[in-house]
Amino acid sequence: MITPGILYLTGALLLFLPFQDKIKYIISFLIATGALIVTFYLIPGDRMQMEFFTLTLTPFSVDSISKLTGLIFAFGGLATVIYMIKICSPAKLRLIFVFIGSALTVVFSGDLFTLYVFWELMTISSSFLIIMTIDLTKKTGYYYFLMHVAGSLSLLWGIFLQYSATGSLSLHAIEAGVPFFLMAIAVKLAFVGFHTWMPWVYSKAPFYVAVVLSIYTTKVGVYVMARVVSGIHILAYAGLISALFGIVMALRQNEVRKLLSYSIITQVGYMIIGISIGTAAGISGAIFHLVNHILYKTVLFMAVGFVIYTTGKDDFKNLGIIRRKLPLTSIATLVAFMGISGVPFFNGYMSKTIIKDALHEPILKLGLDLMSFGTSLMFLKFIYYAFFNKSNINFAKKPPFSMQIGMGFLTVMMLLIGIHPYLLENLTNIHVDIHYFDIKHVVSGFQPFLWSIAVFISFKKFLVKSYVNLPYFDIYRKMAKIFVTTGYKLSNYHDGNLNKYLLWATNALLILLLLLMF
Amino acid sequence: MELAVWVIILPLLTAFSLGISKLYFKKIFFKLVIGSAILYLYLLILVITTSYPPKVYSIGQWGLLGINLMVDPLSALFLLIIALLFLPFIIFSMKYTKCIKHDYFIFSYLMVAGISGMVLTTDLFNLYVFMEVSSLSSCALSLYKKTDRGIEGTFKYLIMSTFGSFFILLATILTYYLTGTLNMAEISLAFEDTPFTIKSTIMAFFVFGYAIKIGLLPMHAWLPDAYEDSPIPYNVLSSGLVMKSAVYALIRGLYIMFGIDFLDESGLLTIVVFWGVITFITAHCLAFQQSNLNRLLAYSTIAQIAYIMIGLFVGTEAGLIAGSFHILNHAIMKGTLFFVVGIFNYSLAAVEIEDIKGLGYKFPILSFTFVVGSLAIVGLPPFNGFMSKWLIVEAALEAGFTYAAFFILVGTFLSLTYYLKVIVTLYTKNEKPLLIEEAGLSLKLPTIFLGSLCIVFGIVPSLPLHLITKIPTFLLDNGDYIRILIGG
Repeated sequence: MITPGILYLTGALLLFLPFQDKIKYIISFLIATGALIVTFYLIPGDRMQMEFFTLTLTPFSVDSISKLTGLIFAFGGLATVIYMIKICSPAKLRLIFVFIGSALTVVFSGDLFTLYVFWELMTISSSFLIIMTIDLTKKTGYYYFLMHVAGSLSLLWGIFLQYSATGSLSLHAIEAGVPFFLMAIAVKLAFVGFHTWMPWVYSKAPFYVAVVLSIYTTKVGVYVMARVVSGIHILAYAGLISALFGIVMALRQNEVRKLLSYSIITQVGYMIIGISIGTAAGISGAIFHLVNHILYKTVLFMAVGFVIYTTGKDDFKNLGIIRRKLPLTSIATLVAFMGISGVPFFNGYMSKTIIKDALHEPILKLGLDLMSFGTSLMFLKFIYYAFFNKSNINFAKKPPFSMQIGMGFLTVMMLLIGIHPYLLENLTNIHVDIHYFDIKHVVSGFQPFLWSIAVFISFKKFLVKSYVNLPYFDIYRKMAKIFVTTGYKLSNYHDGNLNKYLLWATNALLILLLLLMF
Repeated sequence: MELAVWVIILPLLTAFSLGISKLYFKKIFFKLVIGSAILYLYLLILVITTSYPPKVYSIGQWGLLGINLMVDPLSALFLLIIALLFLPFIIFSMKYTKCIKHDYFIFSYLMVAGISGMVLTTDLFNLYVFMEVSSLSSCALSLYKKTDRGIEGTFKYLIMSTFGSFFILLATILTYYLTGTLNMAEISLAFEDTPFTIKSTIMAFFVFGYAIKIGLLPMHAWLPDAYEDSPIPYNVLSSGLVMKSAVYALIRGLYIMFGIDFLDESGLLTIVVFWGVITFITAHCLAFQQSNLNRLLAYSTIAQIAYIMIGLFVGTEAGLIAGSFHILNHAIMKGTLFFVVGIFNYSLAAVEIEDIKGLGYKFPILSFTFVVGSLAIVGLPPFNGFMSKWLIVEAALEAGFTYAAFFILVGTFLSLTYYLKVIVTLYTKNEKPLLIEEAGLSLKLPTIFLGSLCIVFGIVPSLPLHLITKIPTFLLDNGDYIRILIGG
């Protein structure tokens, strides 16, 4: 049986063969298209079982949630492969294929073992993607790898606890080891406190790597959260806090891609809230939001990619080139901006409405409005620099046409979903009873957006100045320092003195004798 | 004569004839080395396939009085490791060693003869003799480079190893004094009515002696010193076989002579698991501090063997399977890593981590192999190290050692910190070309062979597990083993 994940992984193997670059590009295009088609024709209920040493695994199982997630992953995969086909070397394309393939396998995995293995493969491939690209990113890659492996080991420990408590590895709501699962997911989806890797990696990595990472890494976390720990009510408030933190930090950034990273934290906050409500409407709202978020955030990252590709830097000042020289990108950026701000008739509105309707607590409702307000406020800064600020930056080099096609795909999809929100529902047979375009919803959709424009205009001078970086505090670095100093002290005892070694050995003998004889 | 006997005789014979050919027939020396290694591989495969059910060979028809050899699944596992490592080791060494090749190969064959003797014999004193053969020739090999550091390290190795051997011999003598026999089956029967304190004292001596050779915590310090300036292919055999053979002798002795019930009763299982946890955490902390690749890998060996000890000493069937699987996997992974480091050392004289900066772009395939080996040893999927670690953790949880299971995961994280350091250095661009000699195919082939095994055993773990799952049958219930041995 051909699963989309296996398709991508075989693609990665095929790219090892000594073909010409052109053939490699054709292969990768075909694989990405094939994966999308295969995913489209999956039928919920499909399963595959196999025996793997002592375990019975379900490496492939489809239901409507995983199909929708898989579909957007495959679609995003196709768009990014087209986007970067001209600028990315085959070696990196290979790693990207492994990354996408494992993300797709995680989405369709039916047991915790497969989930863990491919979750870890995602970490490995993305880390090497970061480590091997340019020399600036070595430390970033090191940090990223360690952080994610810490997360996945926590997942592994959770799996072990679950396995020894229930004796089964099947993927459903878990019973034992919930905190460990939560920690693993928190690292993956960059929850506040565990987010330290994200702004750093996404702003340092080459732009096409950041595009790929931003599609899959956090979203896989969200998907797994929806699978294993949905409906823990208190987490809704945690999601709200995380989102508000994202907004505050995003407003202070001077680099565009850092702003985009913090806005991911905010957007993931919506999904956490939706999942934590636990009702069917909440979870499907979260997954719809995942779909929409992939669409507009990828477009925004791609647009910044254009800026970096053509001008060489991702300062806010350089965004001016979007209006001056890149007409298609301008349209895409505007559509994505409307989408992410939740303006009615654009795609983000749809999922935000579903989540909002599923909520009942007044605090969370208020929080959600605040989040929409903050999101559009931070992106107004983006829009301001892109369209209203005077700039005289020029092309260093012209972007290839393929980049624009990739972005165009996503933009068209966004417009379709925005105008006809039932499209996503029909695609996967998840039906939420909401009239998206009645007056009540539309008004509540417009409100935060209009407020943010008003606030932006009146407080412009606070919002568009460059901020001094906050003093940087990272608890993980402190912990690493303790580890290194302990090791240093220990290694000082090993000075090569044989007498010392013999003394230690004799002491060990005495202790052993004492322990065993009494 | 029986095949199993030839497993010991062939390398011994080769060692002697190599000595003769050095004097008289210098031309056939290398043909002899290679030919004998290939023949030996064939022989090992034949013996491994007949390992289940276990067979006893009594040499010279002396019955229980004489020397008995026995091939059971645990011995077969060690023969399998010899089969996997020895031929690559010989091929690699042919190119790698630059002077005095004769002594080197003579001692390697002697060492392998000692190890195969250790894993086949059923006699306590023979075990000791073979162990001395292997550890002395191992010392001789580690001295091979004759640099100051090498001599110093080997001296420490020799002293510590002799210190350990002394206690093993002491325990053997005490056992003989108490029971009047050296045959493991008879000892086991005679031990049944020995007082608890005496038994546990003897056991403490055994454990202590072998712990030095295994490198558990306070007795680990000789290992990095010995590895620092020894020929690198020797390190492959040393960490893959010599150290493991001590593990073999320990578990064979403890499980057969004392029996699992006594180990549990005396609290040894708890002690060794705790000891293992402390050992690997410390070793990981120390490994991070190293700037020398050999020392780093040596500390990593200490840590990995501590994992093995935890697996073997949780005292369940799953634990024995997991530990034995990790013995095999560690031999393969460490072999891969040492071979790659050996090639870097051969062609660039690299010993420090700084020296291999930027080689990831110069040697893409070798660096990839290194990455595979190190991710495997860290225990990330889909490589073989992950499978055995999964089994060890599962076994530890099952047996109630929750803290050990948890710390194994912590250890996995710690080991990633230093392996990643090496990998990142490997892929950092560097502009100085200092290539001394191009690495030939005879160096690359063994490396890539072991590297690909890391992936194969990770994806199809049932391949070696087919053999390994039979191991606990004759260890946990020592009655079976004794019956076969005495009945034979």
